[in-house]
Amino acid sequence: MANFEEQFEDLENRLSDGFATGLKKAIKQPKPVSPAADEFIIGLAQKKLRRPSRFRIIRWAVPAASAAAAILLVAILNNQPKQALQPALVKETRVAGFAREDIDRNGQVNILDAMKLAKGLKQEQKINKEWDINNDGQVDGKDVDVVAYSAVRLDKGVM
Amino acid sequence: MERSDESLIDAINKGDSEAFEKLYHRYRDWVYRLAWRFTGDENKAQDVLQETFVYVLSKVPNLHLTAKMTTFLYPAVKHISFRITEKTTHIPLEETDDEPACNIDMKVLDGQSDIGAVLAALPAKQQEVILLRYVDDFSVEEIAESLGVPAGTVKSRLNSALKRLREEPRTKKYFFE
Repeated sequence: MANFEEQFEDLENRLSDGFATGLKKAIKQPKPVSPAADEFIIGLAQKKLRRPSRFRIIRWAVPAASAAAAILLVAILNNQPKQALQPALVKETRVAGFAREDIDRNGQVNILDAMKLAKGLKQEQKINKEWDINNDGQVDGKDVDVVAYSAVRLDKGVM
Repeated sequence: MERSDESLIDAINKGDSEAFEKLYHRYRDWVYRLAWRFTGDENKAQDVLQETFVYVLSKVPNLHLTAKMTTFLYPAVKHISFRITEKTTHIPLEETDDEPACNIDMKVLDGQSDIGAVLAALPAKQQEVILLRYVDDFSVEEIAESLGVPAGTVKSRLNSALKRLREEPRTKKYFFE
């Protein structure tokens, strides 16, 4: 055993319990966690964790549903002029090259975007109209929900 | 009987949000106090708390514990606190050769107490191991795991810190002769 290890063990054996007690007392205590912080994280967990149980169905159902959706999509696209569809999609989902849910414009939609939007609303900052993610004419908690959902959804694809 | 962390994590990975809520409440206050120690600001500490559990959620359904939950959480809380503090103050924190330093924010220390004053004068890395060992009640091995350093390094830092505390007149009284 190295010399310092023996020295450490000797020193620690000589240390009284009063040291730890005194040290704990020397650190001030913060005010309790706000209920809003609890609600945010628990709400987020409920949104993320709800889906696995919802999809906890027979394994083959997922690829089968995907295949059916793909066939349906091909059928729809074949019956629609492409130029009529694409501009609307771009207008609705992207702003200045970023996904609308990408609140902090870092190229990724993650839970930090939802937190930034929630914090912006809480602090009553100047409301950015681009944050009306669900297009209901208001920027509110529902938009935060949409961003949070986009961040944690299973496919994680950003349109 | 209280469910183990492993059992809760197993349930969380299967989509059980109530298990997550239990785990959150089990570690919320510890994470928050730790973040408070790093940031010295209650609002920032709450931001760290939220980001830490968002990080935990991001690991689902592949969340696995290879050590104690606190050992898993400590580097995340430290990293997020470091980033948030750096981002909001634009003052670079002390960096050393092998790992970011961990400065306890002096605002959270009671400067009137002997121990608080002596601790404040210790180098950051010695403060960190002293706090982990005697405030968070980590074992030497758990500290090593949390910091990603060998146990011998932890013992060396603790030894240096305890020596200084023993030599310091204000904290000498805590050592038996």
